[in-house]
Amino acid sequence: MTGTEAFAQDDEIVLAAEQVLGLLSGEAADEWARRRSGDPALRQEQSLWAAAFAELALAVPEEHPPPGILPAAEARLFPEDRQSLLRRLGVLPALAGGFAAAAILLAATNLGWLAPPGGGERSAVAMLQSEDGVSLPLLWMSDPARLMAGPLTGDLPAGQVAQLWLVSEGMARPLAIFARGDSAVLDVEAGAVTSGAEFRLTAEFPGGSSGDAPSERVLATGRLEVVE
Amino acid sequence: MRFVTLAGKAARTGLRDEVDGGQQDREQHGEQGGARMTDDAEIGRLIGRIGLGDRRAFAALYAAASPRLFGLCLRVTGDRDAAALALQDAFVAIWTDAAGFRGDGIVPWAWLSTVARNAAVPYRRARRARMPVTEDAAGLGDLGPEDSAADGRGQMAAGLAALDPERAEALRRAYLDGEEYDDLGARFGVPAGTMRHWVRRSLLRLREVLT
Repeated sequence: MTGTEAFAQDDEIVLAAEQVLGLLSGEAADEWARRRSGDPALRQEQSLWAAAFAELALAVPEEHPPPGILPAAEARLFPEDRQSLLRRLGVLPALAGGFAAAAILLAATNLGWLAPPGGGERSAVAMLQSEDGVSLPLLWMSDPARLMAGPLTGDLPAGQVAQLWLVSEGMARPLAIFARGDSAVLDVEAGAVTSGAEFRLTAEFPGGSSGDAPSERVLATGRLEVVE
Repeated sequence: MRFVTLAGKAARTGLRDEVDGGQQDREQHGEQGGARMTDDAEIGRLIGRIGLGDRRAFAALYAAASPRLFGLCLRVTGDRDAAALALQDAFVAIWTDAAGFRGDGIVPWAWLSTVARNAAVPYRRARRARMPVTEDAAGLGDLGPEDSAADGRGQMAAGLAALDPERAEALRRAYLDGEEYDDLGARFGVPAGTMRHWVRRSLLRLREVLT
């Protein structure tokens, strides 16, 4: 092996490792991906590094995840059978009572399904999906009450963002603004779930709606459904 | 031919797919290693079935792997909500990419860990974008010198132990915290270019140890 060949090999070794570590960005990452796709030896080198660094990952202690994550992933992957999925999960009827726009935080102890025998967290899911393929999964969890939204996928109208709203009794409350790939964790109270309030995703110009109300460009709507 | 020793390295580090793993791996890893190989084989079968569109296998893989992968997502993101989102992203990616799993030439648990780690890193980077790297690490079970004891017992642990401690820490932070050259440079008080030089030299040394 010549000095030039050795240098080139060292460079490829390092590039493969940098890719695994996420240290390549932009053009360098694109160039590496292009070279790797056509070269089995480079793919093997990257796999070697991925497996080697995975030792660090596998040494991390296990932790039980909160409920609702698998249904949320399935709702993103299989939106076409969302209805059957929800039936399989067992959807509880929405509890009676309106959702106050003032965002009343209902005590979990007053909500039977929030305090199952033996305790434990409860969750609810929704998938907002437009006919044009824009989708935003929602996962609500009870303890503490929060709504995990995203990531937003699909192509938004050119030059626009998506804005998520909570609509109840004719009042719309803005929750968050999303570009493609964005996710967010939001404070949404139990009442938003139990009242069957509607979540609405609208297309807005950058910065979000200029007023207090969503635009007429509605991408998708949906309601959270409790996961049993 | 480049990387002529790769097959040997993979064999010695026990990184081959379980279908190629034989007595040499079992001898090297001992009883615990043997158990891991069994796990890998079952996980590999599930991923293979997912690649064929088997949703029951997808649910079974979630049941088997989610505690380990959520622990990893939590370690990387430092936040339970972000970790939950990352785990969700990871399982979407697992379903989407399972068909290409065999072509990656990587053992099942390593593949799953890589997918989960890659799903979690953007959440950690988003958090770090809102605060300096030194504040980002505060209160997150920050890595310190003692964390070298948590590297595991394999070839990577041995390789990191052979490096200068600061440089080994830089590699751990790049992998488990998603820190980039700018972040690492700020943390260690050197320009990003200098950090890149450190890391690249460390990787080449590490590769020699892995050989």
